[in-house]
Amino acid sequence: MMDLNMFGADLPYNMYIQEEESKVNDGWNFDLEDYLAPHSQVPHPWNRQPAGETHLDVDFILVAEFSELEGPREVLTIPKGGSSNFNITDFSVRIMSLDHQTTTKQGFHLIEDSQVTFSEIKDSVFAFVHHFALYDRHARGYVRPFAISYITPDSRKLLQFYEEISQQMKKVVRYLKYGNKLVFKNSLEMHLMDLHYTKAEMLLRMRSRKSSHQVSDEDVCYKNLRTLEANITETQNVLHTIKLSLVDKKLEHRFARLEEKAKIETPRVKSDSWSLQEWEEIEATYSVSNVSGSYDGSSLSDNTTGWTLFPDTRYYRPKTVKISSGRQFDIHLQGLHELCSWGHREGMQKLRHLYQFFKRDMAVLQVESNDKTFMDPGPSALYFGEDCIGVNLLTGVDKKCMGCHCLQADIPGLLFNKCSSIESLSFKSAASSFRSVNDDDAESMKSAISATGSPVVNFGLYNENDVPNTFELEKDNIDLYSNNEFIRHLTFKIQQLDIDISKDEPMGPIENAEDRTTIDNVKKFVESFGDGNKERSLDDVEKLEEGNGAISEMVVSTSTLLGEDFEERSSGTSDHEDFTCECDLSDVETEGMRDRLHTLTAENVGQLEYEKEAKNEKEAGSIKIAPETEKTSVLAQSIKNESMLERDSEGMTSYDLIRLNIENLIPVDFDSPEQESTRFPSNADNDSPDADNLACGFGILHIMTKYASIKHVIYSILIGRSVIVVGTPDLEGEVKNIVNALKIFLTSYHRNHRSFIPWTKCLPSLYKMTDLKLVGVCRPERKPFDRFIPSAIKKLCTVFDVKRREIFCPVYQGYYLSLLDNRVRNYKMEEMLTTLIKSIMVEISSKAFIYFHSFCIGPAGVGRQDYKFLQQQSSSFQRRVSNFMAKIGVHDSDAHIIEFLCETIKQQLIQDHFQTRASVSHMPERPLATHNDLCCQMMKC
Amino acid sequence: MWQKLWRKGDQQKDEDKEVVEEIEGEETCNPYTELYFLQHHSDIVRHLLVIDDRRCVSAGDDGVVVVWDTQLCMKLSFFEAHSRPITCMLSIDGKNKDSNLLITGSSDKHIKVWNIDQGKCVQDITEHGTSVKCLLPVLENMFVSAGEQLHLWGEDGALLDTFPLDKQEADISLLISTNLKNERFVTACDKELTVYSIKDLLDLNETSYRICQDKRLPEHLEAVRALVPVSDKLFASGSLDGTILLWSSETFTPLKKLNTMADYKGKANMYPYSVQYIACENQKYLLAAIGCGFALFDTVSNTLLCRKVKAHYSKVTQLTFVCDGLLLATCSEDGSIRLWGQKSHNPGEQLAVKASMGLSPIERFLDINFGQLHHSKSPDHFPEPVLLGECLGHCGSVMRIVDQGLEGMFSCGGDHLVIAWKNSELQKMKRNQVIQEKVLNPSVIV
Repeated sequence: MMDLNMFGADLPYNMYIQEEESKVNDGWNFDLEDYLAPHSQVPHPWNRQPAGETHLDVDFILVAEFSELEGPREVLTIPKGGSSNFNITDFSVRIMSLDHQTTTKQGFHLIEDSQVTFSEIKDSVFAFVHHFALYDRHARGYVRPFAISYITPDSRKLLQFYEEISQQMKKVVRYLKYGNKLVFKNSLEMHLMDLHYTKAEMLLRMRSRKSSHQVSDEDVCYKNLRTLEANITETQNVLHTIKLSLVDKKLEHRFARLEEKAKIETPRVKSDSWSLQEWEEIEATYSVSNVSGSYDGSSLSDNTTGWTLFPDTRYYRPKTVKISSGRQFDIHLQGLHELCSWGHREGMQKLRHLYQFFKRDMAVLQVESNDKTFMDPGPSALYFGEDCIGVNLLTGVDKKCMGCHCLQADIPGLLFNKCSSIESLSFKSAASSFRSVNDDDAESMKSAISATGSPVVNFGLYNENDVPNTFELEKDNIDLYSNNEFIRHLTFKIQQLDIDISKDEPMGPIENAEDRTTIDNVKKFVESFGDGNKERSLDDVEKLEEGNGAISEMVVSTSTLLGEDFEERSSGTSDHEDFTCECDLSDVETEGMRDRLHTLTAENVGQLEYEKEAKNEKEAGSIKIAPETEKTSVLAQSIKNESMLERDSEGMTSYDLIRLNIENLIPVDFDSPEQESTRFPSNADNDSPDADNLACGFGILHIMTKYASIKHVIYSILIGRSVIVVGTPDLEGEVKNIVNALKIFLTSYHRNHRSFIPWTKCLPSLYKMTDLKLVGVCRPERKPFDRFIPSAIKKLCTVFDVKRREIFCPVYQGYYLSLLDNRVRNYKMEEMLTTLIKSIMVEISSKAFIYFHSFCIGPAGVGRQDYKFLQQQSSSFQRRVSNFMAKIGVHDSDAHIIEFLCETIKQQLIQDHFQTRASVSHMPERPLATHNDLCCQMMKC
Repeated sequence: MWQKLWRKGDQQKDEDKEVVEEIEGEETCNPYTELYFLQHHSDIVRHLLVIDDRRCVSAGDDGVVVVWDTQLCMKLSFFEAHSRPITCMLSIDGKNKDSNLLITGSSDKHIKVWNIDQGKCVQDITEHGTSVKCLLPVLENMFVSAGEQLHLWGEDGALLDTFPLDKQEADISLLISTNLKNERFVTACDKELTVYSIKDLLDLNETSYRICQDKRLPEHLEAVRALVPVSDKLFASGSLDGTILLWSSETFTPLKKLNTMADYKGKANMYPYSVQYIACENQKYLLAAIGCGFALFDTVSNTLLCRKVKAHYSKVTQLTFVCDGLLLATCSEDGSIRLWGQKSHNPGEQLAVKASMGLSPIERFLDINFGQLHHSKSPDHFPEPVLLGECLGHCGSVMRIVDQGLEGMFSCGGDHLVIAWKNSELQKMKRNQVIQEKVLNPSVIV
């Protein structure tokens, strides 16, 4: 169908022009002299420029077209201009040359889309290309081939997220194609009317001329009429085919709605242009004088019907068309926005979201996709604030082997049912989690921070195939941690350590010396690692495979090292040793858990661990690159831990240093998506709320440093007690800030967006407090505080009077929030504190996980029925809970937090259960806990 | 609303010397640690009726009857029954004993019979003619409705008899039956009590029933506000002036006058000692809500066992034993429900002892068994009950409370809410059970 020879003539010129002027001018500049000037050197389309010049540094999306007039050409890029030093035209030629239309059918037919991946390993350019065709009445064969390509220097993105990209592309193209089909149909219908009109006119003319004119003239007329007839039949056939394919009523409604909205909102002439960002660009590209043809003509004369996707054909005034058997190819063809109308707007919006999502670093995408597995199943996930999933109790858990109660005789072969569900997880991971609370070392939560700064729950609920997957992936010459950021991260950490060590004196001289060697070792290691990355090739795969053995070796050494250290410690570690000895080396799955175990125990040992870590690093250094990809996370974490430990123990106060550290640690574009929690494109609409809504948790550092007793308020939120922040009208801003900052602790943020009110004029009713957990209330100046807050509210809610700086709430006595409170002054940057908070939440959630699986859904959670009194049952349950909590190392107020978190999930599960049951029309009410057993106090802050 | 009450309470507090007890700090004895707001009504909820151990029914001034699941705390069904406030409710067994029937009377002059299980109206009786004030089951499967008229209805809603009330302003507000066979009943109309009986007249083929007036009893000083059967031989009535009269059910003569007050009208005709509610325990003990306090009487020895004069800031509307008598719950117009009991030094141990002894609620509440009770003559023996807990949740007066045993307590009030007061530990266990049985084991469809 396509004339492939065609572009051979035109393209070199175009390319040349593009290369010369692309930086100056976005559009085409038809300088005739330049255009016509012959060039001695004609660039070959298949020959790339020297590698340095066409280096692709960022991802971009290219929409290309095989133009009848110009050959393959770029239509638009996202972002505008594409990659700065990348030859887009060249690339357009490549992708458009992959002609996907293999059909040999005669006549008009609908063309299927095709998706291909395209790689240029030499230049490390990889593309996902979606070919599709749009229909245009004026185009050759009614068809105009287009292709959307996602171009990236990172091939892993395409491999790992092939499905996602493919799906999203299909969605984009669905909009475009459907919009186009509607436009095409309208255009055909109008053309058909024109043809009929012309035919009628012609017949009339023939009849009137019949008597007077000559026979030859009649022949011409007859010929014309035949052509006309043929045209009509052809158009009718095409129209029929198109009409048959217009079945997506949902999209049609959507476009209709958009059009309605546009009519109401913009009484401007160009009803279309407001929505199309590329409009200006495209208009600049095409010379306006070229615009011709019946479609455009009608649109210019009649704005309301011309641009509409749903015209009323009754009001169309047909006109005579020029009869010609052949086609004209010199007329200007319509732009993409004209071809697709509303489909273009929607499609481009989706495409931009797609770009925003996938342009981020591979590591971020991977972490996010890992994290996303914890969102499923939805009701068992525990959220904190906007973007933190504390834990998902049922991810990867086989429901059949949960709890003893499920013991059904009819489930054959599931003998392990007899144990409680904790056995269905890795017990070691749970054990390591047990341990992390037993110590008083403040570092324990650090382990939960992933390399990207977002907390990841990684304690053993990974699917078994997860780890091998990543391993395989890494074998394929795809090194996850080869990113510049990561290297920078590591090296900076080392620098940090250097600085710290040079500064601090309290350590013994021997230790210090040893530390130095460690640091040097690590430094070397990292350097070699970095170098290795640069030079890495497929050869490394073999090494990696060897590394398999080496990993287990290294683990052995780690565990023995740990064992020794524990023996050195006096007592109370016997069970720890048991766990380390139990480690099953052959199991790849335990690898991740071991990492955690390793870091956790390392933290337990505290300062002593430092030496051991040093030995460990030496080990790592001696093994060299072989197991590095597998072990990098451990390394990163241990280094991180060290630096944290350093800084905390020494109380480093240099603000600049920390800021520098953070800036280096978290690159700006790397960090912002995490903060804004850019979700998948489909969710993006929901995530862009009104602009005055600040990010969840914004200002938490300020609030926590300003108000001394804020931890008690946080405690209230974490036990499900509603918090009412009361302020006089002049304190509106402050109250809003407090509410916004404390939102990060809300567990019901995602489920129910009414869980907080930043500022309200009157106190909400008590029954609303089952949903409302955080309210900022305006207290009139003249009304005294005690009169304003009724005793029922005071009893059931925590009240924070900002004016008098008083808090009336239950007192927190526990570990986690005190830890947070103590740490706050060490942080100068909010991102770090937010991360710390999230990691603490994850740590607490992990306890809730254990509590749920080994207590709640076991026999202990149901209780004995042999007590007659409510009080007896209640107190016996309380005893059981506190015994269990003591066993997992949770005490005092923390137990209440964990109980509440668990109850939240249970309620979510029950609610979901009732929602999915169609027979039940009503839902159980959500409870409000009164916390009678907690003593409330008035505190100054 | 709440603040008005609060201020009113404050004023009363200033006027009286006795101070209303307040509870501070943690309430270790208060078992109601979780509350559920059951919302549906759009006006004051005045009636709460327990159907069975899973269900209760609430009705209010909005003319709506809502059936609640007391275990899961959810709405099961609702009937938009009447166009005017519902004034009385009655739960009876259906013909086949397998269905629960609910009879509602309203000031819209309708009496409607509902099948709770099927959730539909079985009968709509319009012949009552005037606003219905009270309903009473009599004999077998018959019931009496009263207001400005007195009617006897058959099981199928057929009007069996109408009693012509002589007085023009007669408006019967209370009805009780006084013997086991339910053939004789007492009505209270303002200050006056009247005894009626139902006679069956055997005609040739069919039996017809008639209401006959037996006796008019001596009047109270003020309007009768409470009427309660005590035993087969005894019933009690309480009035606005604070007097509680004990009547013989056989001779219909007053046997005893309890709680007589000299200046019963109080300041500004507030009737501070008015009897709002009387409940009977063990067929001989009377629990009476008197003014802002409550009192416990023994009808055998005619003694006051214990009393609390100032229990609430405002008038006590109802009182009942909860937690098998370990606590006495009182609700009041001040919006609070308060829990009273004996102060003990070791609640856990005492609880175990009490549980083992198989005591009745009254014994548990007074912390003494009946043997000891009979021997002790001095009323000083029993200390004033101590405030052990306060349930705050309503923001209007609390109209009714009902005890549901292990499922906790239910209350309704002027804030259009029904609140379920439950124990959070028990609820946690229940949730665990639900998760285990239903959520994680979906093959079992419940």
